[in-house]
Amino acid sequence: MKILMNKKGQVRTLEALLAVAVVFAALLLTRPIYASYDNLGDYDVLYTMGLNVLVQLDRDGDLGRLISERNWAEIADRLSIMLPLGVSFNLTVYDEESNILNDRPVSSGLIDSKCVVSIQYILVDRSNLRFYVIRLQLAWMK
Amino acid sequence: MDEVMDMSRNNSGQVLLITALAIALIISSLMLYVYETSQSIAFADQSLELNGFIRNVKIGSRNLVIGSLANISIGGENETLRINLQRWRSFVESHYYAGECSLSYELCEDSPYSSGLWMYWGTEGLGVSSAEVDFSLSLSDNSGGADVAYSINITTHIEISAVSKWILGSHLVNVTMHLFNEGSPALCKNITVYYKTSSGKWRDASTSNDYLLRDYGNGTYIARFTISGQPIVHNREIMVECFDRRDIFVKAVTRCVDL
Repeated sequence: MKILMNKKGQVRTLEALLAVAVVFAALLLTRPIYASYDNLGDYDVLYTMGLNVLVQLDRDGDLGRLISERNWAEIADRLSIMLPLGVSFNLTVYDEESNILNDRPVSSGLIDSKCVVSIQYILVDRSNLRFYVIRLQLAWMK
Repeated sequence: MDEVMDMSRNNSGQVLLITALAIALIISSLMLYVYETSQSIAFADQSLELNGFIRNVKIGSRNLVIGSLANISIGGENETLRINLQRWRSFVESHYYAGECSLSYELCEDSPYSSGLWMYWGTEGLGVSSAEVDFSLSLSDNSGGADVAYSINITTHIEISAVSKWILGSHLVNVTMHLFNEGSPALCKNITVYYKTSSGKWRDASTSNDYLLRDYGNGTYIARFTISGQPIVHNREIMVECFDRRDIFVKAVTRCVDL
């Protein structure tokens, strides 16, 4: 009778361990999802790409001029030409008092992605010496 | 009664496993749901952002000096440069969120510069519009930060020379112009050639019927025109006014070499 009781105890322990193993297995299996979700490499690539595009646009003072002319369509066109296919963008321009200047969206459509990078760029307009803050959001298209 | 108790004891292990499976299922579902519905605004590596900000401030500083010089070259106050730099300093310092930021500047005072500016529109065929400012940017954040010193020198200069030939009661004038940005050949946005009449007034050479301006595409321009109906003038004065592609104005005066 005692031997039977001891064996039952071992079985209970094994069952409990098995139950714990099942729960941990679930946690371990869902880990790769987070690993891909937190892919910092993608962020760095997008950040570098976005910054390079803004620098290129600003190098000859074109970006400041286009903003002072409120030529949002031209800015959107240039961004879509300079950014590679598969990258969607959304640009917002603020003045020195943090008011949003673009009265229409400067974007390539909806940014619907897991990985969205936000780049802040400060800008001087050569022609009227006004300062602007640009926020460019970039994402890989699904 | 004892049998019922025994059965429930025997089944308790299975219940435990089923419960564990249910918990595992809930965890997996929850993870998938969070993954599908969430979207994060990410910020890149701190050192990358730090370097990006430094690059951003350098380009902004350059554009600011260009804009200020363009303004001063068309008659703006010399003090404009200092005022704009002060505004830029405050703007930069208030737009760095990763830590502390300090931007300082020093206007060049080395001769021939004064208060960061050198405007020389000479009579020997040379004209210079230039500004030079030394910056120092200090950033600190969790990763340590950076101290960067950089200098911005914006110089537009023009070199002109002219020859004049007296033929059949008219002056045939050739003016050669070279424009430079920071010492490299640059293109003009607008260029105007003037000559001084025998009465001492400046007249736009493009009003001449045969005025021809040739652009060689490498910062070299040659203007050719004839001045008719006026008495002979030896070593006639020629003035060239020019805006470069950055809207910086420069002018120079020279005397024609009579052939």
